[in-house]
Amino acid sequence: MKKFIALVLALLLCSVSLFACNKKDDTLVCGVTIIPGLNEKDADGNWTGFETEFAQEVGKILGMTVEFQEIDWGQKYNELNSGAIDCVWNGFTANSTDKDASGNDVKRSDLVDFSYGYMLNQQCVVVKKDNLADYTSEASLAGKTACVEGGSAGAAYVSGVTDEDNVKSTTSQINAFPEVKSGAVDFIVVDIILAQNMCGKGDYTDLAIVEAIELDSEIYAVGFKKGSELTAKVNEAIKELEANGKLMELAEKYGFENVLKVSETIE
Amino acid sequence: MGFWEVTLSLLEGLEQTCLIFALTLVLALPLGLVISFASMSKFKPLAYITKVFVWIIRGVPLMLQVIIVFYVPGFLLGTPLFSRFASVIAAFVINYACYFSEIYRGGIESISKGQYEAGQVLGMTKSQIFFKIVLKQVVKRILPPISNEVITLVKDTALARVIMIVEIIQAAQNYAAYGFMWPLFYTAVFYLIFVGILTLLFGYFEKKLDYFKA
Amino acid sequence: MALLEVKNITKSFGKTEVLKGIDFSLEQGKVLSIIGSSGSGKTTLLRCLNFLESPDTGTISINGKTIYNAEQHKKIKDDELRSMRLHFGLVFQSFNLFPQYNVIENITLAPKLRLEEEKLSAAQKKARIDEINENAWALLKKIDLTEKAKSYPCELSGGQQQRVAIARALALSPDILCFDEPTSALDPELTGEVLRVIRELKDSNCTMIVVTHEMEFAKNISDEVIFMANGVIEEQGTPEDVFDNPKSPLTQSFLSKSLESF
Repeated sequence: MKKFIALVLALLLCSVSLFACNKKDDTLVCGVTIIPGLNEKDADGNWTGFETEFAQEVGKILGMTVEFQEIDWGQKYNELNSGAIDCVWNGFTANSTDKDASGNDVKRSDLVDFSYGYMLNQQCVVVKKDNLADYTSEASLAGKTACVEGGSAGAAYVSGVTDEDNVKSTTSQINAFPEVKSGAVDFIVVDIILAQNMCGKGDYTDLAIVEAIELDSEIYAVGFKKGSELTAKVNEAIKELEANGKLMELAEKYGFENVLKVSETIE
Repeated sequence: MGFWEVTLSLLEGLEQTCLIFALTLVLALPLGLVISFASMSKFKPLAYITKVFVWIIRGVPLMLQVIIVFYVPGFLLGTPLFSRFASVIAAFVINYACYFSEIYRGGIESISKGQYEAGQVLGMTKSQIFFKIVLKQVVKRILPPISNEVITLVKDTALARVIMIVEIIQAAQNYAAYGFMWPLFYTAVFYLIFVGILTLLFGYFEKKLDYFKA
Repeated sequence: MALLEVKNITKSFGKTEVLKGIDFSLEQGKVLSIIGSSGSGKTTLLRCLNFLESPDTGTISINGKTIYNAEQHKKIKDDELRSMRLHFGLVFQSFNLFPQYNVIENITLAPKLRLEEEKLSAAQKKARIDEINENAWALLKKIDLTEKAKSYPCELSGGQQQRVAIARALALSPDILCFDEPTSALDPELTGEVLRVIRELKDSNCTMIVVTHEMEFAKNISDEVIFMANGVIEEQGTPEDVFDNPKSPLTQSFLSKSLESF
């Protein structure tokens, strides 16, 4: 009996030590979610996309190996603060807010350190193609039901145009699309870069962006754990890539040349 | 986005699902027995501590436990102690071992005192009595609740997504980024086959133990 | 010299004193019946002899050798306890056969487990196992259940189960075989077959202690009878002494009540 108990405990200890984690200092682990055009996998399972190549170029300059780790977007701050990833490099809107535990708005720049901004983004309204005619201005959103990513810039926007009871939150922007397609809500508010890649494709041929409603612009940046030494190093590398034209080359490759904009301030 | 391409990539996700499932069972089934011994220990402090531990583990959502095991060591040390996969296995093993321990305890306590005494007067040791006499009767009695837990485990593996283990649901979810919802619904087929096989297996075991009444 | 010598056995559960000093002895090949109403302590006495309970005070000796002395055995090691128990066999009221083993396995399990603890060569081991099996079949013949050797307990009647339980206890060749109300859990028509086996054992010179409610049987089979009341031996003697000429008023009233119920 005692032998049996000892055996079980020994087995557990062994398996734990087998799995122990060893992270190297010369790797840059980027937390990403799959966003077509920014971070995605090709048919062979290799990472591609604008953000992917951008990060790899920065890694070359810093002499670091770049790894991509898929994350749950809702866990991004936990991933950063626990050191599981070094940065969030995935269309991370810098001049936006998130809700804290008590529901108050907190600036994202208070939660993480951001690199220089590098790409402009906009929120946009997506509806079913058949209903497109009903949406002519911001006023037509009043009283309609909406779905947004919790804590996103889109969430801040809808609270101003429609009743709060009409708004449903999801854990990621991707998950908002089935909501509008299935008719569960009337419209969704998501990143325009994402919407351009989704609407009219796959199962979403019946969705369209409402061009008549234009929202404020945002800027993407790389997010680091507060106080990280990496922020300054990456900023320098971004400047270098801007100066030698490499960054524009990548933007053109993926069709983002019109929204590429390196800016030292993110507000 | 062909059917076979999706099937193949879901099968890759299923590999992770199966790995989590198998490792959890292999480690949690014996660990549960150790925990059940501790909770029935005559040394009262050990029994109480174990009961509190089981209460905590059963009282907190498994998803939260996975998050705690992976992130909290990182918060304290600045770098994670265990890999994502190891964290999932650790959280699952501890959680399921606690559930199993209560099933074992119920099974062991339901065996009549007479069986122990019969072993004692025949000069058997405590471990001979447990392993040669009691265990098989316990197994027969707990097989239905254990099969319930095991089937729940199949579906609980989907919780590993929270720290981004790419199991079958996550593999399907990645297609949603390209506007395809059907791979997600398609995963149900894999789960149904998995659980169907387990149901047949447990039916077979129960039949195997049908020859005696306990 | 008496085979079994029991001196000054007491046993309390919490504040309840169940045995208040029991002394008796038993000769080789004799049968002792213990009778008395429920709560008189007779089952506890039997459990003390089998060390399912450890007596608070007193000694138990076999063949003049003290195997248990409450003074020295405050804390008994498991191994010691096991070898002490082997002097006695016990047949329970509720049979307690092992349900997952068939009849022959029930009988051979304990001897085979003991064999595994000994260091023996393969050949020696084989010989011993053959011996155990042969002995088991002989016992099976004795209880007249040869054709049920491969049956499981759930396939047997209560009487058949109790006969197997007797064979199981005998397989370890105990010095003394104890019965704890062996027929109480049986339908009346099944008691006969069990009592017949016990009687045959007496004929083969087996030393036995029987706690029973079967007064007629106790009277017929016993060499000696003990009547217990309130944790003490109230009356002791030959069956004729106790049943036909009881001296104690407690014995008299118990016997008259017992006879009333029949």
